[in-house]
Amino acid sequence: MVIMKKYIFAAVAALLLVSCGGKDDPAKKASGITGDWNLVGIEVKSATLGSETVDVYLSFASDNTFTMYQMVGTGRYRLYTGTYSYSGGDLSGKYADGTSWATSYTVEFNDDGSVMYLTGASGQERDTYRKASIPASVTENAI
Amino acid sequence: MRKLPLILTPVLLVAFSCAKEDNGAIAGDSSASSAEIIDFGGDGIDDSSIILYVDGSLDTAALRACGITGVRPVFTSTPGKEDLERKFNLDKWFEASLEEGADPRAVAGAVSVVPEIKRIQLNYIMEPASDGKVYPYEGPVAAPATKGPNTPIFNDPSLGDQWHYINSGSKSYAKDAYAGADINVKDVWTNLTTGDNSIIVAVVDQGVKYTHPDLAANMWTGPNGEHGYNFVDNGAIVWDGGEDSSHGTHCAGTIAAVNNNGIGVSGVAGGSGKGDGVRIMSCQIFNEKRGGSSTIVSKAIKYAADNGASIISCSFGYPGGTYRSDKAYRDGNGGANALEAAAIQYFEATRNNAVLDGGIAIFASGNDGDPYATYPGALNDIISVSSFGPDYLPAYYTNYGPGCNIVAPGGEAYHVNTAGNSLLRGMVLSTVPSENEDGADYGYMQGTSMACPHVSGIAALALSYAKKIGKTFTVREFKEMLVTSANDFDTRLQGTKDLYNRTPIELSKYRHMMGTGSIDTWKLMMKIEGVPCLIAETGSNQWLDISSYFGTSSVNLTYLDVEIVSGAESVAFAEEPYVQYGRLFVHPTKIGSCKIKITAVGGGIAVGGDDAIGGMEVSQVVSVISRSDNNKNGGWL
Repeated sequence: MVIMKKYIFAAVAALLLVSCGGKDDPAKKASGITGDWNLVGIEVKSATLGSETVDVYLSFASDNTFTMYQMVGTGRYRLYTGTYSYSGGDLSGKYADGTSWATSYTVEFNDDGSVMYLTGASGQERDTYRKASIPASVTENAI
Repeated sequence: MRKLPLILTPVLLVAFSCAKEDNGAIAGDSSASSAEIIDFGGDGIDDSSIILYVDGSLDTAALRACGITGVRPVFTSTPGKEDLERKFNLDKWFEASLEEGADPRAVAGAVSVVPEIKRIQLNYIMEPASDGKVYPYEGPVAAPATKGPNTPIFNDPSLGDQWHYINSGSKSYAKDAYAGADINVKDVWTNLTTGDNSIIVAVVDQGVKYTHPDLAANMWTGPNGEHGYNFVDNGAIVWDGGEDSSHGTHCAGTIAAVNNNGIGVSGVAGGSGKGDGVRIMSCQIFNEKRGGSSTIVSKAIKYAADNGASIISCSFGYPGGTYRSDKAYRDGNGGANALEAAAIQYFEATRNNAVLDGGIAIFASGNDGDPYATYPGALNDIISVSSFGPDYLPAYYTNYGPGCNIVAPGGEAYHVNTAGNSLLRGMVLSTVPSENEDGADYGYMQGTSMACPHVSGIAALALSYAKKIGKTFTVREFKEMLVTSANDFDTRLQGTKDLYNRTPIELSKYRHMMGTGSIDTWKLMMKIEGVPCLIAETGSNQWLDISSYFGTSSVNLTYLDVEIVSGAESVAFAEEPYVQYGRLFVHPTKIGSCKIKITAVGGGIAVGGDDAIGGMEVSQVVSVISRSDNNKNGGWL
């Protein structure tokens, strides 16, 4: 499992185009979203973000609930839960506190479904998640 | 409470010679002095000695003619510490013993002409920040807090009566008990740490009963089997001088009474019952009504530094109002720095643990009900603790306002039960010497003296946890984290507070005057782990919540400066960030990240300094990430 930290938001307009060729059929991979994922890459159409540590684990359950553990910067992982909807390659959701996700996402996968790409509606940021089990050290200490 | 008038008495004498007049006074026969004496008047001074700051060699024979019978260094030099001693000029302080019956002020005036004597400090007496009274404990009443079904956090039977640690709001504490009026330590005990036996806290106070059954296992032991030193009598620690001698033992119990040992009370950093509590060092500066002079206090503080203490818990201070500014404090002690201030600086520069580059001094703010803290704790870079009761309101006696940095439970008498009868349980429960208390090992006390050791214990827990997870900090960083790990204390300050048979207390006078708010142990631990970035939305005006950095009382603080320290080009702010109503305004125009240093007053509306008592300057570096898509709850999605 790779835990990518100190992500650099490189200027990657080109990268965004790389996986837009439709080689992954979202419908075909519809069931592939279920499971645990770890954020391993962040790409934005921008200059560098800096060297902040960002680590996110996502767990999508088949009952359309999700659990997210995130550490942004320093400190322990923060726990978020809620519900999600995934249809036709579009992913959206709402936190348990009623707050909607900041954006909906277009979902793409690599060929074997082990890597998931979430691109926000603005197209400014694409995050890469890799299938990964969530360490107990993360789940047990999250607040 | 004594108010000591400032009496400036510059002594203008010349050539040094002394003659004793018929009335026993010392007269200087000279026309110009080398040292100015500033005398605050009052009788709260040691009449057997004065303190000299000397640069050069003294002619002791000549001094004898002025009524000085002997001169000796205040401090004993410690091998290996010579450089640090010289850095803070500890080698230049001397204690001059006076002839019996001599007037210290007259002697000070006479010797002020000695060229080598640069400062003269009257040996003022400090006093405990408590009424000194111990109130009897009736035995376990409330059920202890649990960490699971029928699983108490510790098996100490009286933990349930220590509302100051875990306050459920039970009316058994007081009719007006307020849930959460505590130090929020429960989850820290159950999840993070209960202490570390390598962390030593010096209780600079009366002697601690080191044989107490609930303290003995957590006492520091020196190379010769000692548990500290009695600086009043220059010998073994004593605590059985009568009912006036329980203060030190009570404070020690709050810091580190042994946890989970099946008896008595719990201590904030008392361990888990496996020998892992922080250690208590007894630095005795009071013995009944004796002691407390500047020389005794200073020697005790240096001893703590030289023998491994990381924290000094100082529940004492000058009588309220003696000094009203840092400059007056320093001048009032004869020059650029008071003796005990130099000792505190020495302590804070002495590294005795793997976490900090020095030590932490924590003081009580005083019990005179004054709208300012008492010195030395009122010095702007020293933590001074005010007090609240079980109702989460200021205790009737507590000092408040400038110089008070944070508030903690100090207990309070005069609360009532649901039947309207007076009860004692609103005070702080801790260990006491049975010799003084009719055989009882536990009792109640109240005062900022009791609030101070709560913060000392919390600081010790924080060092324990930082050591556990491998974090290191500077002393300044640690103080800033501690002072900003606070909860809002102002919201409830309206109307009046009623106590049993006392005049109602108007609460509005305390607003913005209780430091940064009430200390929160959990928040401090989270600060030690690290504070998450704030996430902003690119292209929008927004006000970011900075309570994770400055506590939930951040809206009440006074902010001094906002400075972008890195990443300005990354986020390209449309206008300079600023803080208003405790929130950080930003408008990033680009996706990126930056770091912003925010500086606030840690207690009060102005930083203390030469002109007036004030708060501590505290800075936090806030990390901000600007994202194109962001919501309000901080979630990454």
